[in-house]
Amino acid sequence: MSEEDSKELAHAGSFGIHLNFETKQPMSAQELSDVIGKVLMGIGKELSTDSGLIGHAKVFIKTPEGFIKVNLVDLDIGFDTEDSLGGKKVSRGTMNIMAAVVGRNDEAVKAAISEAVAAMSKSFKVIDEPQKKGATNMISLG
Amino acid sequence: MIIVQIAGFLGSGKTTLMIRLGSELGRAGRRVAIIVNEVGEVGVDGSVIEAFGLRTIELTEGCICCTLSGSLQNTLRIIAKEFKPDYVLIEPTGLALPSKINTIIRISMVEIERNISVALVDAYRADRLFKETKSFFSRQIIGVDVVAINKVDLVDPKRLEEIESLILDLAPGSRIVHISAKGGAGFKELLEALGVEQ
Repeated sequence: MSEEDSKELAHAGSFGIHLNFETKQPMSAQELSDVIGKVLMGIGKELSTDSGLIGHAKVFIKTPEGFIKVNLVDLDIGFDTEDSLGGKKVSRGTMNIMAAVVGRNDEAVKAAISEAVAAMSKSFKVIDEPQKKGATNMISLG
Repeated sequence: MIIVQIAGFLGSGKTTLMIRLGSELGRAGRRVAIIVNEVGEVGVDGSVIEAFGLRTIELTEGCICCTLSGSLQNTLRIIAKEFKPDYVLIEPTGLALPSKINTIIRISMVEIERNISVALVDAYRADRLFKETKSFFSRQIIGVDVVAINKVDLVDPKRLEEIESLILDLAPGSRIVHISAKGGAGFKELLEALGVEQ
């Protein structure tokens, strides 16, 4: 282990993906937050097993109507959300999903996020498989 | 140019405090540059901060206290030369060690009026973090100017006292303030503790 690498020092793993999405029908911030919040809770629960300690699991959604962010730090508190939609509904946008966990490696975090996105996409019709930053992926929600 | 580093473990509320601090300084007419570093390949915090109208430089795929230390130095030099800010706010990853970042800032060859560092501690999770990451956690709070216990609205006063004791055991003599980055409680006291003009 390199003492210079703080991520190794903390025994932490992380992963993030970037998605383009569109909804089948317009969704409110509340509806979208509920879907994403459940996704984050699923990721958190999966990664909390085997002594994993959630650092942070978070999603930022950018749409022409405004933004929505959903955060999960602790499973007991649950996820919290904030948005700037002002009651407008969302049909498309981009989504960044990221998680960092102590006690689990990058591969475990990647697997949990990929599984959660796949489950979300199963419910909402996947167009392409998710990839890392730099690539764009299309999924349909709602 | 004054540099303010807002450090702290993952999920401790750094981004929320950055938005509050950046907005406050902007309202006061200060030129503010924000550097956000994320441990992951895909950043979220930079987008969040920009959504609140604050311009941000995002450094991803590594940590500015170690693997991206060169990027931090270069970014500081470019900001100092081209933007000439009054304040540079730095949000490192939740896995960064503030003392190492302070060293990198010191050797970055930029003219600095002051370099201030604050470590955020999540009051709600402090117990578990102390228990499970004690050695790493202590390295995140040792040597900072102020330790800010955040999310104070989620715990009772007795818990806060216990958390203060834990912090003082790990980092004796620490200056400690209580804040809610989200609700705003204690923010003024934090600015005073940091010596930031209001």
